[in-house]
This record gives sequence, structure tokens and C-alpha cells, in this order.
Amino acid sequence: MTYQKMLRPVGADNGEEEMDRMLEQVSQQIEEIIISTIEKMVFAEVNHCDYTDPEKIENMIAASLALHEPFKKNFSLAIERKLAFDMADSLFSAYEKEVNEELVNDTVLEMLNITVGAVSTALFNGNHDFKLGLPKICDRFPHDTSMHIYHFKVDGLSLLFGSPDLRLFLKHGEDI
Amino acid sequence: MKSVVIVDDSTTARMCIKTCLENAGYQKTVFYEAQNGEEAITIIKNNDIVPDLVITDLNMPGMNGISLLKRLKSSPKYTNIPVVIITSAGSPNLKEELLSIGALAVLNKPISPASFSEILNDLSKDVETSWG
Repeated sequence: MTYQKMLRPVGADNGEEEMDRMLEQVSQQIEEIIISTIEKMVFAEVNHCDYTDPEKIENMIAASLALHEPFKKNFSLAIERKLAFDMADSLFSAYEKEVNEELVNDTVLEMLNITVGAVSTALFNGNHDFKLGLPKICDRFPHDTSMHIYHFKVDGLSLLFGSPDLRLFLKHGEDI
Repeated sequence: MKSVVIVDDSTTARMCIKTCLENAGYQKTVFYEAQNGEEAITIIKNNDIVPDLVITDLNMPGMNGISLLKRLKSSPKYTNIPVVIITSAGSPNLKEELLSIGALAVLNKPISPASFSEILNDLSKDVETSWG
């Protein structure tokens, strides 16, 4: 089912239960996109999990990317340092390029950029133009209570993806 | 020897594009890398080349992909260079606009060797046709 088709029935005729069901479907769709995008990029198995140790989050390499249109909100990504180095290494090893902090950060930024592009393309289903900013590295995983956080494990190491509140996408969708 | 200019502000993206091109048959090729449109134009001018292909990201600090495409297409010397746009934020309207300006193709990230192969095959057919 496409996202736009899922949006249409949301409104006065549908109750909170229906909304929850749709939010769950959107959430599932986003999770699948994140997994498939990252797996394609780094050839590693990505598994969903329910929780990430807060102490680990403090030491992750984090990045954020702004969605400017159709509304202003941020996406974010955080990857455990060793995992980020391993991912960059797997990408650059063919070129015998020494992986340093700069290249690792670049890999994290590009991973966020590609993932947000794929998620946004799916969420707006080609019916709505969207505009992204440039990804940037942050001191810590940027998130707030309204964000929907996805937790993943790759080779036993943690990866987090933060999406704007899914209700925003639904609310916005009603205006389309 | 073929020459290809890869334009992306991300080292990772440039490396992935290069790998895809090599896997798609571009082994004997000189690859030039630029971080934005201005740098790409400087490289083209300084090396006095008319590249066989320019592959550019859309969203970059400095001159972006759409401005680079317009610059190349407005120059009699460079107007025939095939330009492939690679973007993480593709929408049908944007794709249409880029194709109307003269982009050969618009690909969504993440790219794969398969998506490149298709375009490169079309490209060689066009070259064969135009050369008779």
C-alpha cells in the first residue's frame, strides 16, 4: 500500500485506533527502508532492536539533516564509533585508502543523506516535492521527545535513526 | 582514454560512484573528482578536456548540480557532454526539470552498478548512432 493511499482515509470518519494502525504501518515502512538502504551501502545485515544503552549513545558518531520542505523538521543518525569505522573501512578498503576520522564522518553523513532521501521519497510517494539541507556532524545524537527513534544492531553494534514525529507526515498528508 | 568527472561533496559518494563505473566497464578511464560545480568547471578548464561523462550530485555547498548542468549546456564547447544527475532527494517534477535542461538521466541514491550499466549502454548506443 502506498503512503498516500494510506493517508486518504485519515480524518473525521476514522478513530484513534485507525490512526494508530496507520502510524504503525508507516513506521514499519520507514524501518524497512532504513534497513534496506544501509544494507545496500555497506553489505552488512541490519537488525531491528527495541533498545540502545544510553551510555553507548553518548559515544556514538552523530549527524543531523534538515527537511526544509514541505515542512521544517530534522532527521538524525548515530552510529557506534567502531561500527562507523568498520563501515567506512568496508567501503574504502578496495581503494587502499586509510580510514581516518574525516572519512568516517563523511561516510556517516552520506549514509544519513541517502537514508533520508529514500525515506522521504517513500513518505511523499512522488506526489510532493521535498527539499533537504546538507547533513552535518553533531556532538551528540540530536533528538527530542517528539521524534520517532529506530534502534538497530549491525554486527552486534548499535545504530540509531531519528525521524520527525510520524503524525506530522499524516497531518501534512491530509492537506495534500 | 575516456575521462569522467565525478562531482559530489562527499568523498564516500564519489568513491561509490567510481566503483560503480568501474564495475560497469569504465576501467580504462581517467577519473577527475570535484566537490562542487565550480571545482568541476575549474578541473575541466585546467586540464583542457571535454569529458566523456559528467556525473554530479544535486545538493552541494557552492555551485550545485543544477547550476553546473545549466553552465555546461549553455556552453557550445561543453553542451554535448552527457550529464548524469545523482540525488538523494528526487521527485518527478525535479526529474522532469533536469531532463528538460538536458540531463541524460537522473538517478536516485543509493546507486548500483546495474543502474549505471543501463545508462552507459544507452550512452554507447547514442555515440554509435551519432557516429554512423
